[in-house]
Amino acid sequence: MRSRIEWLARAVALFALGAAFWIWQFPESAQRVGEAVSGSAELGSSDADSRLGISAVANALRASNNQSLQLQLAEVPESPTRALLHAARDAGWRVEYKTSAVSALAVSSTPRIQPDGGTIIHVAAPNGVELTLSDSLGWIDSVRVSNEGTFWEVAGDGRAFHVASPTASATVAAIELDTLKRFRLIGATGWESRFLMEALETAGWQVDASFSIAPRVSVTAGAPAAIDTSRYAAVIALDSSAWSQAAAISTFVRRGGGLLLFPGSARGTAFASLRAGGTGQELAGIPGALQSTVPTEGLPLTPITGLVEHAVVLERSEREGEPVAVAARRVGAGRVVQVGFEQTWQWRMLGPDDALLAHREWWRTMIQRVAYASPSPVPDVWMPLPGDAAPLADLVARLGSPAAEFSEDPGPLSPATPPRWLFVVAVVGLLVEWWSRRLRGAV
Amino acid sequence: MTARKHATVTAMSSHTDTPRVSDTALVSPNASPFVFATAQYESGDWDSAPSLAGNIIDTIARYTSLPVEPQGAMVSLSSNDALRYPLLFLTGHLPVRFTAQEGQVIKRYVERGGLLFIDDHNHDIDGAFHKTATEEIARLVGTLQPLSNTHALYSSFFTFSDGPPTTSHELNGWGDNLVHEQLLAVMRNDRISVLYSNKDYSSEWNFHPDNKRFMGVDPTRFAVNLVVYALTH
Repeated sequence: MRSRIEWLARAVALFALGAAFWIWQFPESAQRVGEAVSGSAELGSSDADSRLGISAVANALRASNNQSLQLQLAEVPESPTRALLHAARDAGWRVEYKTSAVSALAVSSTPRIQPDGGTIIHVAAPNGVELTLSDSLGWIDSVRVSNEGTFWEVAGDGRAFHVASPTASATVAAIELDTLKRFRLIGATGWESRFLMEALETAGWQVDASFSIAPRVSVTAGAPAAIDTSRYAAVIALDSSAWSQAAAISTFVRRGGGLLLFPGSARGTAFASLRAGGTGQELAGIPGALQSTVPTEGLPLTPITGLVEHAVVLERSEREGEPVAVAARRVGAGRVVQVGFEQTWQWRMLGPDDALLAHREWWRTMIQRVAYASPSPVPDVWMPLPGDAAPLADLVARLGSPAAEFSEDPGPLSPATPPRWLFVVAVVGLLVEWWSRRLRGAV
Repeated sequence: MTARKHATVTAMSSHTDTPRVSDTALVSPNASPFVFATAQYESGDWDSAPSLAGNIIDTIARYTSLPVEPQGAMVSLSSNDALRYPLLFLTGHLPVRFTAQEGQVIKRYVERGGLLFIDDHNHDIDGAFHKTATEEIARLVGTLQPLSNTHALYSSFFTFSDGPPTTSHELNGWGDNLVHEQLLAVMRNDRISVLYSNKDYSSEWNFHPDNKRFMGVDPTRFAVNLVVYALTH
């Protein structure tokens, strides 16, 4: 009798261990054989849940007994909530979410090469979405998106910029450049050099120039020195005065400096190895065009012809044949922009009402295209919590891509935990068997 | 514009005609020639100094290597063509009242960086030209203020250490014996926009250039400073 009890106890213990192993390995079968399955928890589908908080997720995790969570997100959850969902997923929960109401944002920044620094922030977002830009001091601007994106040009120093739509946000670090604030102007005394200096000095640039007034007599602006990337961001060669310094300028450009070439300097052979193309026959300005919406058409133009390999066209004239007016190329580590327009000061003086500002902006853009700047390391932008730079990207990284449709029969994906009572039965069975054998004196 | 520009080699002092030397290259031949322009206006006598333009052109050619048009220009202040000449000379004896169109052009001219040089051909400080011209400039551009006698204008080519050179008309002409210590100016962005003179340079410079050979000191040298300042500041 005692022996039968012991065999029974052994059998019960083995059965319980076997059942636990079976449930662990084959959870679907276990459910089929009778494990309770309740509906999955759904969050975020109502207005009350539009802001998915960590407590709401915790409650849902407690309420769901099939280890499944389905989220209809109206906006991207905050970092602690994302971390909790990530933890639940790693613990074996099936976490699904939809983001159809969330407008994705893609944000990048590029430095603004100007004496006062600054950042250009590019944003890709769906049309019609209202975006706000802010930094650590508060809101800067807001705009409604068109053409699938927008950009801001923010002057001054800033470490990080935050772009937010009603449903998503992203933060981008500003890359600071060590911009030299000085350029060297080489050209004859005249209205072009005088108004060029005014335009760029207004933008914060410092000008070094030497103007010949009489034989062996000159007037200087700033303190002209040897042309070197340690001193100058760019050289502007207005005319043939620059030919005598072509060798120094060539070295400067190959080491990373910028060069603006104008027809007077691009002609001839002195800058043949640096220019973007040859110089054609000068075209007179179109009468009356200085007062039009395209005032540059009223300026004399020396077309850029026969572009060298890898040169790119930046601007074409609307004159017959659409000649190239501005072209650029890389030379060594530097950049060269060749401009075909001449006497741009006439645009400023004789152009339409906005000519003064437009002329300044044109020169500012030209020098920005070539100016040398040494990049500083990307700053460590302080983030209160991980993943806040791009919350939606962080959510996808943690939980995977959003679901197009929720699973209809969500079940546990990972091996299920066997019921505790099976282990209790196994232990009790083994204790009974051991106790019986000890009582009858068996070993 | 900042005030960093300066003549490193300001050439000649008011008593020495030999420029000091620097190592600058010769002027490029591809700069547009400078054109000396005289402003026409409907009121008053804008053409009261007919020989002045030719004399100043001669002076620029004589002392500098700046390319200069041998013929001056006369341009109406009621036309936007005035904006083609970023340095304009205006003179007269009679009361000045600018028309609405002239006023608009003057405003635009100054806003865009032009330099208007007005000389009182009466060389007095309470005459009709002075009263009306200064009123008109105050109405259109801003109040004229005394220009420091150490301003860069006085050292942009020749050095005038005492400020604006006096004229014979100030000292003994017309009987007022009044010497004007300073010129007047309206500044924009640290740069002269309107320069006003009671010196009567219009009389002082209104002679045939050949007569310079009879003079110990050429009285037109200050015009070179004015042109160089306008072209480099």
